[in-house]
Amino acid sequence: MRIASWTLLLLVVMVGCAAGPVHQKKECNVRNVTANLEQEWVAGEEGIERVNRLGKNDSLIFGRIVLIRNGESQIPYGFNSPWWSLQSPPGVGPEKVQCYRPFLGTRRDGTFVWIVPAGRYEMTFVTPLVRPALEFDVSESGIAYYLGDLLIDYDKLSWYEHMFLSRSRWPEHFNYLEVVDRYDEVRGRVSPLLHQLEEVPPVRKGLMTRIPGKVPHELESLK
Amino acid sequence: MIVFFKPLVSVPMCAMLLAGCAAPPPPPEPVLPDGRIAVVPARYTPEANFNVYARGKSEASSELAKEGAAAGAAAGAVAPLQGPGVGVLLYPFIAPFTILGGTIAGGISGQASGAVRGLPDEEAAKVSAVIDQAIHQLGVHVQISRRVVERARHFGWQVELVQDAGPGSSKEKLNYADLRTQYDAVLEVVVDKVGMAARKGDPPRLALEFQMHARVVDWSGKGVAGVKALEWAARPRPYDKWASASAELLAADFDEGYETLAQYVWEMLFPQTGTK
Repeated sequence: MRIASWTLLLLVVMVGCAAGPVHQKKECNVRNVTANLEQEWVAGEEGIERVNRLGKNDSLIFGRIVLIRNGESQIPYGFNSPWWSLQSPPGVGPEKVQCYRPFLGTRRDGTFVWIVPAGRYEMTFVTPLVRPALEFDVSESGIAYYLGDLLIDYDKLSWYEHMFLSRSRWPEHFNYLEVVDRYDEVRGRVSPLLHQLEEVPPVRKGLMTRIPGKVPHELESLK
Repeated sequence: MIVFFKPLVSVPMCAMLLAGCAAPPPPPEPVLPDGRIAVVPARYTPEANFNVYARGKSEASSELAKEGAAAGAAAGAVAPLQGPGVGVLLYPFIAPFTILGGTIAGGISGQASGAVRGLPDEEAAKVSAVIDQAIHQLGVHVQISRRVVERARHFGWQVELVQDAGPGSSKEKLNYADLRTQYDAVLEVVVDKVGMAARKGDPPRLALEFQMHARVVDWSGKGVAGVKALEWAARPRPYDKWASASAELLAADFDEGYETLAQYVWEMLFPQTGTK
């Protein structure tokens, strides 16, 4: 009896805590376009199929993430190539469901090429530490969008700077962020990947822009 | 005994469980009401930090070595301005960006040549006053306020720049009673700090930084009173670039800072309902 009453109390408290706006979320169906397309197989409606074409509701996005640590570009990356994540706005799209996808990778040269469902997205996070507050619109399906080169400048602090001088929670301090148009440079790098698709999509520039009312910041500011 | 201890255990446990839920929600963000708005810039000179020496080659060690910092910066400010025909008396007539740029470039060269102990206190104070005067001449509060007004008017807001009503010091908190009959709300624009921040690199880098806040005083009851703190930092540039063209780079970065901060204020404090 006593255990039951405690459990009930716990449940009441937890339900109270959990109350609030409930957003339906699911993982976005994204696919990485890599150099080895023939190795990528997914379960489709007609059994196992190769992922080397855009679906009728898909767009392709590509761009580059350039991490500048202590004034030096980190490209080519080793094991520390940046990850990023995206999410769609809440409650829009055909299913009225917000989708998200963490851990989108980049290649050693910083470029990324992904197939995503056509729509609008927010870039929510980039390793090592930044909430970039950027958005992009890739609503028209069948197009390859260049999202720009994202430059992220940060300082890597020494242990004593981090311990004694920095207000930052992380050993990195975010300095500056900018999206620049270096399409001519990136085009040559991603072109071989695009040409592995059954049908090469037309390319369009759709540079990421800052989300109005939001400011890029490092994670610490989320407190 | 058991009866005595049970509340001792259960009460804190309940309190702990409830505490998670009882955390107060964050205060609502300040928002201006739809109505007549007075944009009021502060009237005092913000805290200026163009002390390049202190934020030099090794940020950490230099920050700890405050002793030499002021003198280094002072030497920097004076050095490039002490050519033939240019004296301290002429400082008020030199363009603000030239003075601030000279401070940065001189601070860098002063550091390189080991001018750490630099100037006597009297001279250092004089140079500090010159920097303050340059910042004052730039009118950073007004520059941002003016851009906010331009944006708001573009979208049909009834907004006016009221230049002589703002706080005269950082400690002054005004209630703007005099403006109450003419306006529905006041937007106070204050730049708290402006200066150069050190960034790591080889050679080390510097970036212009602004810290400001915007305060909403609302009499209509339709807005939300409060304070919004904002920051902006420019792209870091290496020492050699600052040494060769400080005034030009500074002017461009200041302009970008004004624009960006004004845009932040516009986006965050004016309800974004599109064109009115």
